[in-house]
Order: sequence, then structure tokens, then C-alpha cells
Amino acid sequence: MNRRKAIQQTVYLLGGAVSASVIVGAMSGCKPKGALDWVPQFLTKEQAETIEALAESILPETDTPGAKSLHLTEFIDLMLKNVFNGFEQLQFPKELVKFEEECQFFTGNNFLNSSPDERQKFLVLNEKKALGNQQKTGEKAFISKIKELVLVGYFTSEYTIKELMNYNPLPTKFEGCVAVAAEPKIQVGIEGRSA
Amino acid sequence: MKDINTFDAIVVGSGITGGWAVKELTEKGLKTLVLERGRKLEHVKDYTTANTPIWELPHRNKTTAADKETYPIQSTVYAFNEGTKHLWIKDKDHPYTTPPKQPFNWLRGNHVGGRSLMWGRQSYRWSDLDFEANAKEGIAVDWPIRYKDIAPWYSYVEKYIGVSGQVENLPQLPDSEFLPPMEMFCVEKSIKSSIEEKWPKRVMTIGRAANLTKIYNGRPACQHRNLCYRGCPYGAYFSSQSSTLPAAIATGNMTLRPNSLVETLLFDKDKSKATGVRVLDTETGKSVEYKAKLVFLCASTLGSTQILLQSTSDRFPNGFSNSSGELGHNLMDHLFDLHAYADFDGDLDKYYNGQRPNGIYIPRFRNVWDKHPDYIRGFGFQGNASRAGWESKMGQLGVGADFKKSITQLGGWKMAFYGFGEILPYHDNKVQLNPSKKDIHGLPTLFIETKLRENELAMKKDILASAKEMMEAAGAKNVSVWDGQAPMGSGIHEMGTARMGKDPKTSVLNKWNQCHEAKNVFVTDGSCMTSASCVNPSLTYMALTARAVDYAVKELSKQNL
Repeated sequence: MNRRKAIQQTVYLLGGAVSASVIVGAMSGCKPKGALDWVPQFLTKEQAETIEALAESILPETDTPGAKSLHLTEFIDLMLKNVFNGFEQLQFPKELVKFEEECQFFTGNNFLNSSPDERQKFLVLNEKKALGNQQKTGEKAFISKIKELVLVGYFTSEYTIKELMNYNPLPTKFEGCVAVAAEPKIQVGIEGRSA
Repeated sequence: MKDINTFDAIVVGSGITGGWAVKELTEKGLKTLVLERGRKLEHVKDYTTANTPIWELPHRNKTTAADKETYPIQSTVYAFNEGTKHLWIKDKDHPYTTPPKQPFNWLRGNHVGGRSLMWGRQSYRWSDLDFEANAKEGIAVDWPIRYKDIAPWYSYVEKYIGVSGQVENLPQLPDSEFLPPMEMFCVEKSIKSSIEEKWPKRVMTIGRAANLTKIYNGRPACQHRNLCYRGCPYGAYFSSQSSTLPAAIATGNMTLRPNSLVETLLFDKDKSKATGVRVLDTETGKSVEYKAKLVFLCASTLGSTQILLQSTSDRFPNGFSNSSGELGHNLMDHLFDLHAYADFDGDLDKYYNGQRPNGIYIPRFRNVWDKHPDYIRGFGFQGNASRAGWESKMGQLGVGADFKKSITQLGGWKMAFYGFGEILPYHDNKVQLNPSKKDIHGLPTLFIETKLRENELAMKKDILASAKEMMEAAGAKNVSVWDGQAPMGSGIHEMGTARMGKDPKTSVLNKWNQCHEAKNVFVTDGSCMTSASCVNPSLTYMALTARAVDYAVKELSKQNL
């Protein structure tokens, strides 16, 4: 890590102010390079591309499907449209702009134009900072909200439930105390809850 | 020709007690009309989400903002979600009011079967610790019955509905006629041993639940999906649809009329008897009158009380059979939303198979053998263990491939206790009609005025302290306790607004759930309760209903009604 980057990160973690020029940079940003193959209902196309990249950074494609393959941003878009209340809906785009400003400050680019490696590093720091703030203010940070939506979408997806968990829709019997292998899969039923 | 609007008996409501009343009445040969204010809801066929996996629910079981507006109160219930919302009443159409800063949560359905479809199925007998308490302590009025009066009726009901549980021989929580108990988790077994070792008189037992643990009375055994509250397609827990209504249908004596909102009881002043009811057909908007020799009000505590309050006449200017002035008063519930959570090390090689629709129960241990300095009565705990699953990963730091791998891993064991405490009957905890606020049908709504008092607040403190103490004694880590400050009503055990008593001057009903002032009207839902106990009340409502029908039909045949 070079000295400039290190200072930048320290300033960032301390909650450093973002200069006006940086904001302008973030707002005007480069053209997004993601491509959506679905039509968002709440998010703008640009916002949806950013969220899709963000969701994929949280849960990337590995030997199992990632956020994009599982259409988690479509789920997030639907949740924003129907489950978030009016106030939360108004807040969301503002929080996204702030998130982009911080990304710009940290990586020099908006989220979409940051490299996968930069995205990951930024998110790790952003989350740390967010949790610190959250403990102080009690308000859930943008990254925490997104992560929660991503995880809910992930763990309620048919793929995750059927392939990565022990899906037990019709147990017929109940045994309360059984020995299991060292790392058993999480058992879930029709409702997807783990307990 | 027989008048098609005339029956031997009318039952208002088709929930837990209405179902029992109609089963008993029709089996004794009475042609019975059941009036249900809500919509028709057929067993199995109308449990529309019973087999819907979460990924097929559009919002993956989350409540939408629009639903929160339609169901501002109901959507706060643990059992309300995208998969169950069709079983809860639309608050928007059926409002009620409270004083500012004194909220009350009235949680209810609006369909055939009522809350018997969404209830928690916990089934416990009350004891003389409960029935004698008011008399011993000089609180409110004495119960007109004792345990021996209701014990045979508990047995009668349990043998029919099926209650699973473990015999414990406790004086404060008599055993039921049990089906085999469900099993505890390993960690629950060890917590049980620790608690019972430290406090030899305390017991932790498996929950007593109206879920069948074997094929019983022609009904299939529980399949352990823990999805009861969406309606059970197997009929393996007690509901009106799975249990009492089929029995009534089999007699050929039942007529069930949904969408029938009872506006008022019809009263014959000269005979001092009800002649029937006037109903608003909520589909046509027309009023219809039905006549019968017997009327059973089983419309839920506040539902029946509202009907009684609306049934005014020269004889009853302040509500039906209300010369005592107690109608609408003494509203109770259980202290609720009192939690303790903790982590337990070990047992990582232990898990369970299937989903248990039941938890553990710690029966009352305060003011049973000794006297607490700060308050009277007591509390019990429900609870359950669980292993931290994916929901616990929400707050976990990290992103990327390694994070993704880590979140599908099963975590350690946790334990939860939930306290349920007795609320005393206070005259000033009351409901009245609010004629200035109308519901969707143009009928007056209820104004509900409740608050907790000194005894309850002192008990709450002890509930949390006791939970913490037991967790710690069992070797817990990270014990946290909190009081969710739930409004009264949240326990969904509202009761007491047409209480039973020995004296017509101070009570609405006698020891047979019979109106003091109209002998052919019986009220057998939660409104009849003289005190609240800390124990779940539904089983007691069922037993009182069966007992009241037995008495009513005997009296009818003696031509005393």
C-alpha cells in the first residue's frame, strides 16, 4: 500500500470529510459498464447496475452461483419497491450517492469502475466503518441494509435451500437430539427458517 | 311448516369455543346454527399457502409496506407474514380506539375457525392455585368453580383433541390426558437438569401442545413441518376445522353461516330470555333474525362483550345481563414480550431432525410454596433452543468468496425463554362502545382502555431476573434479557370482560357460564374468566364450553330454560 492510499484509508476510517470536488467526480462519474438483462421497477438502470455489482462483490460466483446468477438484485429491487416504506425509499438513493462518494474517495472511481479487488477492499473498510457508526447512532448503515437484503435473497433462493442446505420440507417425524457429522448442513423447512 | 330461521340453538362464533359448543350441541341432537362473522374457510382447500416454499412467496415472507398499512396491528404479531396474512383481520376495515399512550393489541382472524387456526396450541390445565387465588387474596370476586368442577371436562376435551406432553405430577399445573411427549433438544435436556438440580422444586418440561404425536381419533400425526399457522393440511393440530366442526357436520344437525355479523341479542322481557339474534349479512348488507331456545356466545372475549354491550333494551339499558355493571370491565391478558437469550457452548455434534412445533415450559414457581415480597401471583416460561443458522449471519463482517463459504455453516446452540405473567383483574381495565367511530359495516367500534399496574410491573422485573438467573445456572454465555414493552393484548390471551361469579350483583355469568339475567344465554369464551392465571387459557375455554353445553341441554330437557 503506498503512502497516499494509506493516508486516504486512515482518513476514511476516521470519518474524514469528502471534498466537494470529489463529490462532483462521483456524481458525474464515468459511464457505468455493467449491463442489465432485466428491467428494474424501483431502481434506475444505473443504480441497479451498481447494486448488482455490489451484490456480486458480497456473494461472488465461485464453484456455486453468485448474487447475479441467483437474480438477487431483482429481489432487492422488489423489496425496495414493496417492502421499504416511503421514508426508506426516499433515503435509499441518497445513501447510494454517499456510498459512491466514499468509493470515489477510496478507489478514485465509482463502484462500477473500480476493479474487483478495489471493490472488495473498499467494502471491507466501508463495513467496518459502518458498524462503528451503527453502534453509535443505532441507525443501520447502507452497506448493512444491502448485505441483509442480499443474504435474505440468497438464503430464500430455491438453489441455496435445495443445494446448500438440508431442505427438509416433510420431516414426518421429529428427533430432538441426534448425533451428526462435524459440519452438518443447516436444516430448513418450507418456510426457509433455520429454527 | 318449520320456520327456516328457527333452530334449537344458535352459536355465535366458530373458533376454539364456538367449534366446541356446536360439536356438543349437535351431538346431543340439537339443530344448531353457527354464525360466523368472517368469511368461509374450508379445511385443507383454503390453506392456500400450506405447501408454498419460501421462494414462491413474492416477497419471501416479508410483510409489504402496503400490508403494514392494511394490517397496522395484526402485522406486529409474530405469526403474521406473507404466508399467513390472509388469516388475520384487516385492521383498516375493523378499527378500534384506545386512549393516547395506552395502546392495546387486539389480534384476531375474520374467518370460519377463528384463531383456532393460528393459535400457539399450548394446552395447560389450570389448578386451584388459580381458582382460589381471588378469594384468598381478596382480589375482584371469587371464582364460582374449583378445579374439581372442571377436571372431568379437561379430560373429556383432551381425549378428543389430543394433547402431547409429559406427566409431571405438579399441583400448580395438573397433568392432562397426554399423547406421547415431543423430545427436547440435547441442550434443553442439559439446561433442564441444571435448573432442576439448583432449584429442586422447579421443573422444566416439554410444552404441552395440541399437536398429535400419533395417529389419533382418525386424524393423522404431526409431520413436524412447524408450519401450523398457515393451516395444517394434515389436520394434525387442533382447530375447529380439523376437529370439532367435522364432528358437528357428521351429526347432520349443523348449519354454518359465514359472513354473519351478530348485531344484537333479541330479548323477551316477560320471559326474561333471549329469543334469538339479529344478524347483519355482510355480503348483502341486510339484517336477518334467527330464533332459538338457546344462545351460546363464543365470539371471542371482546367480540362477545361487544355483542352484549350492543344488546340494549328497556330491561338492559347498559348492556345485556349487565345489572352488575361489570360487563366490559376487568379486561386481562398475560404479561408478554419478556425475553431472555443466551449462547451455550458444546453439543456441536448434536442436531435435530424435523421441525418441532412446540417448545419447553417452566411452570410457575413463584408464590406457590412461598410468598414473594413484591407481588402476588406468578409466571411461567415458554422457550426453546436452536442452533444458529443463516439468520445469525446477518451481522457477520465480511464480503467475497470466503464470506460466502462461511455463511452456510451451522453455528452453536442458543436458548430462549419467554415469560408469561398473570395480570390481575382491574375494574378500570375496560372496553366500551364507541358510537362515534364506525367499522366498515357501520357498526360501533370498541374503545379499549388498559394499563399495567404496580403488581404487574414488579412481576416483570422478577420475570427477567429469574430468566437470567436460570440461564446462568445452566452455564449460559452472553445472557441478554429485555422487556419489549408490548401493549396489553399482545399475549393474545385477552379475557375477563363478562366474568363468572357467585353474585349477580358483581358478575355477569354464573358458575355454568350462564347469564345471571337471561338463563338461556351462555358465554363460554375468554370473556367469562374471573382471573387470568399465568397459564395459556384456551384449553380451559374448551372445557368450560363442553361443561356449559352439558348443563344447558340438561336444563333444556327439564324445561328450565
